[in-house]
Amino acid sequence: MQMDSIGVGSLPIVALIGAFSGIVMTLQMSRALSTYGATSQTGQVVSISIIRELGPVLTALLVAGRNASGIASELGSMKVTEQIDAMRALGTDPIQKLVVPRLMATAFMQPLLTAIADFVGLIGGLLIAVSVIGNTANQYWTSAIDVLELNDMVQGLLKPFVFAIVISLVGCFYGMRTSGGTQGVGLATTKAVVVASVWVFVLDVLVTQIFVSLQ
Amino acid sequence: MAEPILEYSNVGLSFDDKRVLSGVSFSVLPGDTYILLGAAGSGKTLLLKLAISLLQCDEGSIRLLGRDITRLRESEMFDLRAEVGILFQEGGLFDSLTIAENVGYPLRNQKNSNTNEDQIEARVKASLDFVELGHTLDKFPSELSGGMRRRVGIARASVTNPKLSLYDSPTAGLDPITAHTIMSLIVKEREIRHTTTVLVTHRYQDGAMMANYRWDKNRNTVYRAAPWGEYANLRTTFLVMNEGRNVFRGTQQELEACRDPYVSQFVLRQPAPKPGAELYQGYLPA
Repeated sequence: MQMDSIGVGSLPIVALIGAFSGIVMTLQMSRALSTYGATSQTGQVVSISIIRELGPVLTALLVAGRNASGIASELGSMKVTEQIDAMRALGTDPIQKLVVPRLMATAFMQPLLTAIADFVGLIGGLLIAVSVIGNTANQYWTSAIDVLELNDMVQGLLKPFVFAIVISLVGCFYGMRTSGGTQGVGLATTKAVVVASVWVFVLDVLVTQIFVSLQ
Repeated sequence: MAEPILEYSNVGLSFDDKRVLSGVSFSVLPGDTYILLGAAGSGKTLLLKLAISLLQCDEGSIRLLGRDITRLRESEMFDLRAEVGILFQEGGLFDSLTIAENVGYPLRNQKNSNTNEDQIEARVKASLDFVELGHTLDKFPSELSGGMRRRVGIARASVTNPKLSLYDSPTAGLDPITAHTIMSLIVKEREIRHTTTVLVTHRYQDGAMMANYRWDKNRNTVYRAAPWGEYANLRTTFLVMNEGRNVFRGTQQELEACRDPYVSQFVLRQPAPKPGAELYQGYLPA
């Protein structure tokens, strides 16, 4: 159920944002590359930007906005209506029942969502490269795929995995610590989104630095 | 003398710098009924939460079912909590589960529960029939009224046949007729399953009912176990809390005789029913 909510529920918006980021990146890069007469390299630049950075980070921000808030408000409502106390009182562990499924579902679905966003982004770039810039589809696709190395693929899938852990844990943390009735639920939700988003950027820098130093 | 089921020894608790409980001591023996009275914020609910270690006290010690739970880890508490039933003020039902799933939740999820699915269904049905809500199995909590949710809460708290039942303000915010129904079910639970009971309330009538009423299996209703004007004192102790301190402990008779200005505010002297009045079914000699 959590996988359905986090993964399938986020799919349309993730695909949409992926497509638009590919389109915008292609338009922007083609303008810069045309200065050097290198528009044939558009695929390379778009591919690296999307796989390494835009795909993982934009998807993570969307999931933070959609799911960290959802997790925090759901668990927060359970906290203020004594459902979490009830769970503990009935002899079950709320961490096992509530946190672990959300953590696992996010950790599993986030890399998948990112891969879909990357693919749709590259397709969006392809459409613009062919229809506006005048590249051939083969030219764009070959330059986009050939430039990618194992390092890029690992980076592009490790980042969403790390982001997923932080997003789900931040959502659960603020949800489980909610106090102060419905007002507290709203506050917990806002905090979860802000803190999760900030952590996405901080971790992006750290993971990128690690991969840069490995090269 | 039997070992207490629940024992508070000089319990104290603070939130930040605010002292919310101080020097609370009392013991609940098997078969006892304790009524915790007090104004809002006097620490009644905290005492219930401390009893099953949903909170941990800063001072003193608490023993539950013979074990010192003061410093037990959360994982060590699960088996002990399975022996205790608790009704939260708002019922504490899980919104996303049906009534049947809510009531069956402890049977399906407690580690020491070796109940198969057929047995669970039968016990859930029996427990809901006990609170006269056997027809709500497939409904969700949001489809029920406040009183019905409390009754489901009672069914869930009692489905495991606990040794100790804790009730947190079971009648708060309910109309007098629904409140009477809820209290009747709590009396029924105590009588039929011989449960030790700790009940938090700010309504004197609730305590008076626990102290004087019994369950008549044949007529399926409560009856007063002593004539009007006399006290049945069914092993019921009243305990009054004021700003985190226990300011009174005694029987209903002693509570009514107490002249403390704070304590006496909780005593409501009920007139005997008018001749022919059906409410409370009057006195039925045992």
